[in-house]
Amino acid sequence: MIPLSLRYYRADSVDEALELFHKISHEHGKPIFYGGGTEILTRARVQDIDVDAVIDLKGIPALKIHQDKGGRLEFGAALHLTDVAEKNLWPLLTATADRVADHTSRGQITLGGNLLSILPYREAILPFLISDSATARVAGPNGVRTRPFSELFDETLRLSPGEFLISAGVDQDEALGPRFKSRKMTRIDWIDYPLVTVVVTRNPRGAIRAAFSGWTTYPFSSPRIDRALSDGKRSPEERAKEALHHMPAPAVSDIHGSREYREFVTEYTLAGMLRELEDTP
Amino acid sequence: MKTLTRPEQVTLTINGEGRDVVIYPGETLLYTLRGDALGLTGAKPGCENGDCGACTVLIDNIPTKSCMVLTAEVENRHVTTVEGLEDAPIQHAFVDNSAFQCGYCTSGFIMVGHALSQHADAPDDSRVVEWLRSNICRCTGYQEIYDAVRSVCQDSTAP
Repeated sequence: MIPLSLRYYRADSVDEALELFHKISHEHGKPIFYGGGTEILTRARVQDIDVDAVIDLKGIPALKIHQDKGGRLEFGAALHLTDVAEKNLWPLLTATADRVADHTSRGQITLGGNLLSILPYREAILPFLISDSATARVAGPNGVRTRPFSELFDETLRLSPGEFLISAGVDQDEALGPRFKSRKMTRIDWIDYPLVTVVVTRNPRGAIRAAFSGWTTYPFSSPRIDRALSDGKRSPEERAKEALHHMPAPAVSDIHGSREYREFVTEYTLAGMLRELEDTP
Repeated sequence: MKTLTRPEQVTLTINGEGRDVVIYPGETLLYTLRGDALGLTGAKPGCENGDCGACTVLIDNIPTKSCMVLTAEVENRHVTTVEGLEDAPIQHAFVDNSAFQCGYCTSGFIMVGHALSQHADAPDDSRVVEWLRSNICRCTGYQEIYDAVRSVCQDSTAP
């Protein structure tokens, strides 16, 4: 039982969800958009969230879109992570999202819920961060807009109150072109929050792109890191060491591992991934 | 649009039967199942945080941690608890493989194993392990649990 007095609404359309949010807010209620619910219920149980109404978005068809159409891969925000993995339109997204939590939980967690989590990890966002063509379709009081991820992302996806994510998309060519590796490193257990999750792609010209989660309080990618990793004249170990000098923030020390341990794990993980990507023909 | 703003009677489909029950909007499925109206105590409250899997049931044949779902979400969906399995092969497999010790986690593991055994694709070993990682057995009887689940799943890698 959740120790909160909640009202439950299940919207059937984008407009209905927006109207509900507006109406409840206007009546001094505290609504929140609701996807898989795992994070909201977990936080509600320990009274770490102040809401009195949930607007369930899972019944809205636009949020269940899951297609390869006209050269674009599109993923609805209400898709469960297991849906994404089973259809496997974007193997890099599958490899990354399929290491979130455990299998049963991934059957409940939605893509939108992971991308917009308040937790620092949000691993499913990593493939989008290193894809120039990635866009987010967002519904809000001013209508529905499609915006580049790069505009919307600043440590987190910056949605305003009353806005919600409808879907995310990426060009098929960009998504399926590069070779990739995705690694989630945990301290002991397979199922745990990451010390660090690293996603690396290598395009046919040898350019490397990388994104990280768990290193600090937000997921990130960086052109400076990509340049350091793409310097083919240096060994994978040298490049991995150099990349750590360009991280946008120091590694965190927390219950999962100290700063020094995180740096050590990240460096050898990155070096190993580069070697695997470059050794395989 | 579905709205539930106060305690209300709803009809849930549980183990193939329509069951009328009064629910609160903020009530989790685990709480509803185990309450006096339904009395289905096979789903166990463990961590109630989505970690242990002791409360796993099937919703439309997909294993789901019932502590992480509002009951209001499952109207018009099919909920299966361990009480609804009725002599399923996975239950015999758990007995045959002595796949339980204290038994508290057993129903959750059985529901995951049953769902996997019903899955269209025959799982390989890594998939069996991946599904079972969703649940925790504090008695650490994992090998026997794995053996039981493996025995009821066709092996896609078998010759």
